[in-house]
Amino acid sequence: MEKKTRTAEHLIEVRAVGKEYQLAGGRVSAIREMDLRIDDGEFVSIMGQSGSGKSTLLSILGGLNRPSRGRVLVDSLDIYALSSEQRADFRSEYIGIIFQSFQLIPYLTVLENVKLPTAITGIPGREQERMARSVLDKVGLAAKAGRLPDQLSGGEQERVAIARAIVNRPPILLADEPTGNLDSETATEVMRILRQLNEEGLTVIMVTHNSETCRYSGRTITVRDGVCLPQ
Amino acid sequence: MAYDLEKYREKRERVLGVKKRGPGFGLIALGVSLAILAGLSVVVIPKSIAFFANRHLEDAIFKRHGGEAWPEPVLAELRGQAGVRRLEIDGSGARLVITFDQAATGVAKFSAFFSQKKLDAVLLNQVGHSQRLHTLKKEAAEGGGQ
Repeated sequence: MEKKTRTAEHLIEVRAVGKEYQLAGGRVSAIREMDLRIDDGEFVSIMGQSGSGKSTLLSILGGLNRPSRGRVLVDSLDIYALSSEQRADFRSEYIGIIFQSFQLIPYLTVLENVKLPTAITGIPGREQERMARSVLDKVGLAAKAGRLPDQLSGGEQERVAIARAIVNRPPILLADEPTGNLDSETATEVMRILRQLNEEGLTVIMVTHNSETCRYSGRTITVRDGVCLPQ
Repeated sequence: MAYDLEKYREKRERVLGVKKRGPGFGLIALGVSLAILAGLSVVVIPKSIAFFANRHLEDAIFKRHGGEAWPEPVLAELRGQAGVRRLEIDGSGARLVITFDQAATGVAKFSAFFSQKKLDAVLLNQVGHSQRLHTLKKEAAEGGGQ
């Protein structure tokens, strides 16, 4: 008997999502309404100026920021309909995040920083070490595993952040301005790593305000005043 | 572009709790509780069964006045009496221990029976069956005994 294969149209679907923040000065609409589809294996840039809502969108995609309305489906999971515990598992299983300011823990070595996400998944210690060393090798930092973050250059710290984001082998990598703090040569090096990861099958979603970095992605979504502009 | 939903099925199942990474706290707590209960059962249940099986039984210990042996036909007849569960002759062959159901018979009946058989039997002691077993076990452990 032929095995029936279940398929979905898109890995990520954002349906009529909106987000408002209540600030002291009044209500601010960060995202007015967005609909978005991202396929498995895509490299998508989300581009827009400061305050356009692109970072808010990224945090909503990562399960970190509940939208005021609308739904976000990832691999057919309605992530904001999950319990908070399930959503934490969702982030651990599906999402790797690279923050603009790296967010490395200064008193842990490079290896310990990279191992950290594996520690909460219940993976045995030796396997954690093997996985961490493997991704450090992938980003070219195997020789600096024992150093502390402040003994590294900005580009190296960025690569540690990438290694930490992919150590659990998530299918989706979210990057918030990954080259924002880097000189152009180091930025190129980091973008090449992201493209290589995408070619290996990772879905990469990158927020940027720099049109130069968009050329590494397969598609660019432009965000302005809380809405996605027609592509 | 459609993709195969089977690709990330294991991840999805872990998120939804269908497939756990390891035993949860509840399962571990249940396992530990069952182990404790099983351990207690091994100690408590056999003692409880023994208590309920023996609580109505008494032991009467007789000796013939001159220390002679007990005639086998008398013992056989005694064994057939209602309420008599067991007869036991101790090492010396002189003391007869009758284990009996105190609801069905008693020491007075045994004394009458021995008189009827013209045996000058003397009651040495009457004690609960469980208590006597406990005493015997204790004496054996101390290396004494009779």
